[in-house]
Amino acid sequence: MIEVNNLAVKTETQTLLEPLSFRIQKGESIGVLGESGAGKTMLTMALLQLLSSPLQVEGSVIVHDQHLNVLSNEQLRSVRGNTLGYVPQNVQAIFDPYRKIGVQMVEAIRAHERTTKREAKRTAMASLREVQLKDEHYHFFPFQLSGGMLQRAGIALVFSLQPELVIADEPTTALDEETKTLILELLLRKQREEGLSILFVSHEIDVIKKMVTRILVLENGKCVECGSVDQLMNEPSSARLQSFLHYEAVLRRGAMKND
Amino acid sequence: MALCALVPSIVFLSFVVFLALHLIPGDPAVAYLSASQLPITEEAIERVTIELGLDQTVWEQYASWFFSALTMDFGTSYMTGEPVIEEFLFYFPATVELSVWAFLIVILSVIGLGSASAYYRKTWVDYSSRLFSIVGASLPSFWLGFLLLYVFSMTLGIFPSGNRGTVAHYVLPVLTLAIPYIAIYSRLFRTSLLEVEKLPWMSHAKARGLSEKTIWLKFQMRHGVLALLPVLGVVMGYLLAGTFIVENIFSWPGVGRYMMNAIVQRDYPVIQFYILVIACLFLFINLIVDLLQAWLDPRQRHQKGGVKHV
Amino acid sequence: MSSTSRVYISMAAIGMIIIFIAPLIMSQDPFAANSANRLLPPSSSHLLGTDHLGRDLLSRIVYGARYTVVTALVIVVISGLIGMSVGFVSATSGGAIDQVFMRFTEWMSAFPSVILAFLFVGIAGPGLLNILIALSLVFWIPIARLVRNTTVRTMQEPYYESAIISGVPYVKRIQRHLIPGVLPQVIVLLALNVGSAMLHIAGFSFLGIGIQPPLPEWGAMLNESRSYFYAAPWLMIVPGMAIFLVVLFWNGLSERMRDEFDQKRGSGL
Repeated sequence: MIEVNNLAVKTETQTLLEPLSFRIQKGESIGVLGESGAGKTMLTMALLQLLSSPLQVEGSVIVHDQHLNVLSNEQLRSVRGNTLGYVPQNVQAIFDPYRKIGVQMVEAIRAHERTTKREAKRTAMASLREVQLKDEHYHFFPFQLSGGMLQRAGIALVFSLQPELVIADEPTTALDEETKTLILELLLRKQREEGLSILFVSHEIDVIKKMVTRILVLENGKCVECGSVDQLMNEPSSARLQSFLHYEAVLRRGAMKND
Repeated sequence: MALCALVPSIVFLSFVVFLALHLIPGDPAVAYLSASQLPITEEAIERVTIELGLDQTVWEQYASWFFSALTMDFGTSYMTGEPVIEEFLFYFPATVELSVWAFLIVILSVIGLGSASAYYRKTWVDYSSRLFSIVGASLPSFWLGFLLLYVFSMTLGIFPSGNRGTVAHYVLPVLTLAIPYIAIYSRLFRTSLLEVEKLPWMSHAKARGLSEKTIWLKFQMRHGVLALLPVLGVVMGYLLAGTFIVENIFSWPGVGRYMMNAIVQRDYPVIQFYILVIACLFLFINLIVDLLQAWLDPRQRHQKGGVKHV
Repeated sequence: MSSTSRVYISMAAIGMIIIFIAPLIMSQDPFAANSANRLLPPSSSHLLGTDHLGRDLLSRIVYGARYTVVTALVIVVISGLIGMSVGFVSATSGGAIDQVFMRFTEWMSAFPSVILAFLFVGIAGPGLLNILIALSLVFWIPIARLVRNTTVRTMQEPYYESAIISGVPYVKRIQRHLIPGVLPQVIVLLALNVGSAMLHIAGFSFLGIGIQPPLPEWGAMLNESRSYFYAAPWLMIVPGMAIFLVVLFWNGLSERMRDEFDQKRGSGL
């Protein structure tokens, strides 16, 4: 459903993301692994066409046969949110602090779908329930929720638009264990039941292994390795991935000793 | 409730004003004599000093002023012998009219110009508004007033040159009063709009496909205007108290001209009352700004009403 | 430094030189009245014309810069020194002193304090010294606030804290971190204040409570020209234009410096 060909990000003097190509089918999930500074966030922003000058984006992103790079703002708008859902690292920051959570959800739903307010409200509440919030949280201001609840509300907002592909940029880094499990399970269930595609960006190899079948390894803005999870875990060819795996093994051994 | 909280501040303020006036060099007795056009002899000064209670300590003088102020008696003018408060209330409406009109024009133009130059940033709209701000902020208002008079009143004959009356009488004074503020604050509003743009929820609103119009109106403008509120309070204060020059140029029968006279004649009761009124107005305006801010900002609103934590 | 800034600085230098050597280069006495030359329009013998007493307008304008521009500069220097010291002391001492200072200046900056300066001059009587005192008393406050806030902010920066931990001596820390962090913004504000002070001096004189005729202060000259407004418009246009251009110069300089500091900070990150 999404096809990325030679996507690259440059400034006038430097290349920040070297040309990179991949595809994601419906219901498929792909992981992007890399350390901070490897260009992971740059990649997600480039996919959503959210970068502006002095950054230049080259190559093409094709969603359902539409080339995103040539779309008008208005056409892009209809793709963002309801075809491509975006879960940022600080998902609680997606709310404007001055307006109620429900109002912002309804506003987003109605930006993509012609429905009545009541219908949109029903969708929003259903979505809140899905992340184990209550209907009453619909009427809350963002600052009235605790951090974990606000993160769940953010996820609910993203899913209330029923995206076909979710681009999740380190979605679990800042979360507590409970919320983390809830979100990962929600993503997997949506994938199983509704054929959601997932682009999962992370630096945590065990989370990635749980979530995806294929992996791209980024290093310094360059794709150094890509392939299926099993293949890469068993015979990593790049030094980067080897050190990742080694580090993880050390950690695991340490954890076992503590047990 | 909130109004009652102002009372101690006002009492404190009145004392500070009283004290400050005493510290500034100059003998009120001499001022009294010259303002009432009496011959200034040593004998007369002595008589007036006793008559006005100037031989008492500052504390005694303040106490007697304070207790008569409680009965709304703020003394009589040295120049006319009329009660200060009556004279003041006679001139004040003209000044309020001028300031309020200027204030409305300032708000509308600041929001219009500021948002236009933020929205069309780095286009000719933005550049010409920047030029306007720099020029407008550098214009001496008395000169601006004269230029407007010269062009629109004397040469073109469109607007009358002075006094109050029809709507046309308001145009030039209001513009003279408003233009410097528009120039300064439209630039400030533009900057705060651009600051809002950098906040995280702005790019996320874009990422979830909200229309530009929604983002602009519901996110950006809302935060920008909220940031502008305290500034608008200050502007209102300045407009009310800063009409000296405009009233002077356009022969506007307001407090500014009345005060100008009082200052030159050192009419202490009038000056004392005027500062007190301006200070009270300032406290009152700040109160309104605080209330408005609390009303528009849900965070403050809910702090006061008790936060519903689950 | 960009070429625009160099232009600004050379203009300022030339202006100052003209102000101080004015008596040497002006052929005509700014105070010499001559009833035969009343209200002459600009011509080759009087480049900007003459006023109602037949005095040469050009020499009055040049001579008058001493009152309008130099007084403004003195006010800015005095209020700048007071503001910087108070702000710095408040920021570095913290505690109760800082609290009192913050409350006081917060209050004063919301209050139309220039009105107080105006009343002060009005009551204490016209004259240079009273204007100097009144405006300096008002102008130091925003500077102190700015210095206090930027100093406090800089002291909370990780690099400053790490400098303390690694034992960099106090004086060195001030030199390396506080001054570069605070000074640029103060300079921008000071340049803006020169224009603002000029407008106030001229405004006071225009209302008749500032510098008095026959001294050729620009605002006072404007006031004198009011009666001849219609017959001799250049009398009004010239001093006003002089104030406007010089204020514009300072505001432009301030804006220019702000841009330059912003760029420097931007590239430093």
